[in-house]
Amino acid sequence: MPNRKQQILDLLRDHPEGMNATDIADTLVLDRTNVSRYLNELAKELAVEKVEGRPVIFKANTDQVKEHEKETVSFENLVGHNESLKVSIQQAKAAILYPPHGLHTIIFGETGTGKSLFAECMYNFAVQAEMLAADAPFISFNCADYAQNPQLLFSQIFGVKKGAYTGATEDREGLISKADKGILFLDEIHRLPPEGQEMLFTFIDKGIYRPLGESSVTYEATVQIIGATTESSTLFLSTFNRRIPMTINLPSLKERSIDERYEVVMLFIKQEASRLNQRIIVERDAILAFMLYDAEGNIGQVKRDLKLVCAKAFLHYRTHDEPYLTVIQKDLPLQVQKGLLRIKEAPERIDRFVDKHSQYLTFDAGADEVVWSQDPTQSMEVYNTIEEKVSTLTSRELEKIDLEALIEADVDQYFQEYVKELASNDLHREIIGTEIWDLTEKLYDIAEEKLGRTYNVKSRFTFALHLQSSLERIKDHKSIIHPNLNNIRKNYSKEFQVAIELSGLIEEQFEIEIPFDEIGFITMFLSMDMTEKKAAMENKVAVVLLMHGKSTASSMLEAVQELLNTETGTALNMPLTMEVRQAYNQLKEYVETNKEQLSSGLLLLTDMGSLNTFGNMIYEETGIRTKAISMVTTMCVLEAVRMAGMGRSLEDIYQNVQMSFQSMVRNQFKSQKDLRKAIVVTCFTGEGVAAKIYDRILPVVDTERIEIITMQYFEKEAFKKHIDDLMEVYEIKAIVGTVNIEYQNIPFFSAFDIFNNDKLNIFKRIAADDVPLEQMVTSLEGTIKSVDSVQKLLTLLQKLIHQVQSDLHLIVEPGVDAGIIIHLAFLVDTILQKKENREFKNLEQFKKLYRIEMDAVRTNLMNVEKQYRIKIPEAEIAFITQMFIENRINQNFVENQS
Amino acid sequence: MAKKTIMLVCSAGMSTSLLVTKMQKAADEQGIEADIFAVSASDADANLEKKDVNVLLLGPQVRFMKSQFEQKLAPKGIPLEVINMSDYGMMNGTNVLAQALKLIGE
Repeated sequence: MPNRKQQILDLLRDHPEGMNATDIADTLVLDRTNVSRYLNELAKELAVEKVEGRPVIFKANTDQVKEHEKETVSFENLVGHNESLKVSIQQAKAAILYPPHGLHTIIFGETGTGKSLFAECMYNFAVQAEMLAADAPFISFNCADYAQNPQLLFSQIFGVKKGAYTGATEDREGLISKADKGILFLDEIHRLPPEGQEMLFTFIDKGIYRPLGESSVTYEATVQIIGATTESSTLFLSTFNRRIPMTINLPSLKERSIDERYEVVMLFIKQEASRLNQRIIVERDAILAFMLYDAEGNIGQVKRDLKLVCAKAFLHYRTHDEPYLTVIQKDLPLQVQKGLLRIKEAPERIDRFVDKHSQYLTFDAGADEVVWSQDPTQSMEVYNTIEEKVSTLTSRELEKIDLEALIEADVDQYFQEYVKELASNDLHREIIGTEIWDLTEKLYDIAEEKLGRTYNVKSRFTFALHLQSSLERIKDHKSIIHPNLNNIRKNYSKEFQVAIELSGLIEEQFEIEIPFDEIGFITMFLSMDMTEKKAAMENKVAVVLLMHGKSTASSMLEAVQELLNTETGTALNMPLTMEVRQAYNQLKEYVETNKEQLSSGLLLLTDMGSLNTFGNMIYEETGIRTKAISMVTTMCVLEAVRMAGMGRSLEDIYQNVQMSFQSMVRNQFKSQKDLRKAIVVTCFTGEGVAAKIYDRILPVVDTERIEIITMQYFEKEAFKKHIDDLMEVYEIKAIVGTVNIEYQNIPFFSAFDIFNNDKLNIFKRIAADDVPLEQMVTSLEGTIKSVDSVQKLLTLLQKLIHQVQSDLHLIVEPGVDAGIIIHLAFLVDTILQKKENREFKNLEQFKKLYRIEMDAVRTNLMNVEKQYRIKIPEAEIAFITQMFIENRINQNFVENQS
Repeated sequence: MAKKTIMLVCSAGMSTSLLVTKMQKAADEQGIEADIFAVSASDADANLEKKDVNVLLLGPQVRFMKSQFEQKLAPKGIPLEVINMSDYGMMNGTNVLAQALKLIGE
């Protein structure tokens, strides 16, 4: 390969005006993609210069035409050469220096401990020590490569005589001859077949060998054999140990010290930085994870994992035009992230390496890196692939965010998610245009006939939705990218053919051009199996408390269970002596034992944010959807357990519990402003479906008082951000749309709901404005006489009932607000007039059941008590609490309390 | 036209009593003979026994009791409804009276 690079460089030197990749490929008769790959490498090495433009012109860099000088690797470059590797290196040096030609050596070590690298160091040392000539050969061979074909393997090593077997048309030199006066490194030597072993031992004993097919003559060579193996079985050992005098053991990663692991990580990141000639910034936790995780593949795996993470960072850096690469903990492979679980085992030792106070470490491209020729991870291929992808895709002016998601994500996964999202929208057919629906029916009928299968309504419907949005994209000249088009074409050739045909019909009807990538998607729809999944057993969401302390979790849960008179919930205690990893295993074991009951997901409540990483890991490892919430209070646990008991969904509970926490905090800062009222209508485009919803709700909304805002739903977080912004100016009464949004306790109505009259009625009541406070004041003035200002009282009460709802995290039915305000106004009046008290039936039981709620109500009423110097009896507080709880929306009215 | 008995129910019977006054006034003005009274939720049952109630209206804050009352009233054929919230908020006796009469079917 390097000579190709040289060829290209020479050609460019002959053409000082520069050439583009295609011309170079044509001139040298090479594949164009390979040429660009070499060119990129040359550009990185600064041997050529890129002249920006399209196509990119490459010029030989005349100023610094220097061959990239690479230092050879030596023992001193190895991490741990003075510690864990000290003995091994001494042995190796002795083996090399042993007169007259060194000792044959076998290196033992687990996968990834660096056996090949070590052998290369031995060779370099031999040259340095002048035991070998400077041009002495170092031949490396992996016996596993030909393990299935012993004959071929044998002939590779020892050579073959013409006619030894059919196909052996000429004499061929073996590796052993090529390695004469040098070193032959045989990796995975245990894979050598018996015949090979025997010949090798003959060579070791006598220095002679016989190529395959040679019967009379023996050959001689002076070669030092270095074998490497992971095999440590006694059978193997006894065979080899007798013949090979020197045995060197390489330590596994576990046997190395934390200092060495730190060095390894530092070294590799620096290497990547140098390779890319770019600064890399790494989050502290990412370094720690890499230092601590359990890498079964030893250093080799650490290197691969780091490479992967750097490639990810590189992709991000290229697509976002950032000034440097950033590696954060979140991007690490799960297994690496798990390293953080061990942080507790060595906290004081860790801080020694990575300053507690610095969040990031910076690595700059440094001096010429030490290169080890055998290192497969050294290649620039990953980066080049990314580079190529990015350059072709940006030219299509794709939005950046899409691009990254598409390159990175597994297409199948992505598609499945997309379809799930579409299918979950229980949209009424009305919102799909008749034209699109009819076309879909037609297309699917054709597909059914051609492919000899059937598609149910749901499949058709989902496709119609997709088609609708695709058409919009195409009309808006937005690009559609199918990242895996070729595979689709290959694997679903029949469906692809049909898809082409269908696309023709779509093109005809809408007079547009369907890009190939879109045909890829249509193919996927046609090959998709959307048979109705049979409804899984409805499990309830499991709530697990995980908290530090001997019994914190269990006592908190006990309290909640007692309050709710339920047995829902599981407590996992984490005594301070328990390691984080142990706690994780405890949780994982729970999940695995109860997997069948966990199909609806698991809500993890913890006391510290650090434990939240468990949520993600549990999901990745067990496939059980898990959400984690930290810093929970008894109130949060209560809410979670109660909602889980009611059979609410994981997302629902998660959002709600988080909300109650957020609103607690927010309400302490939020000033009471007079907000305008609004209803938000949303769909993927902000135009299609949203417009239909708008038309439908318009008649029931008093637009003089309530604005209807249409918004595009692009991505969940962005949407929430929009809502946050709107909430500065508006009080959002409801969100109506195609994608279910549970946010800020704002009632959500699906498009489907809105086309259902009963639901529309509920929507109407919720969206309808409250009774204006002024009018209530007018109606009560003159009746309530014991307070100096009815206006003041009602204003106070209105704030109070909003606060209670926010605290209790519920919404009461429309009109109830006003009812409670009036009730409270009269209550204050009655108490001030010292009329008699009344009883609340089963007060004790009610108190027990709703203690938290009553506390919230009481706390809010304290302000009123203070203002009017009254004491509100407990029975009244129970009545008020009951009004809030019983009148909340979503409450099933059939439930009877009496 | 027979005399109408209209029963209003709210949590403590306090807030509806103001409404009763206003409804009575409206009835008098319109020359309608009506017995309008307000009770607390706990006294409602006793009053249903005692009096021949033609219609029952609920304060919005005890909306949740509607189904409970429906079960009790259905056999007797007594209609009930939650008071229209804006009329309740504004203590609009005329409108609430109209709501009650409409329920009775007049």
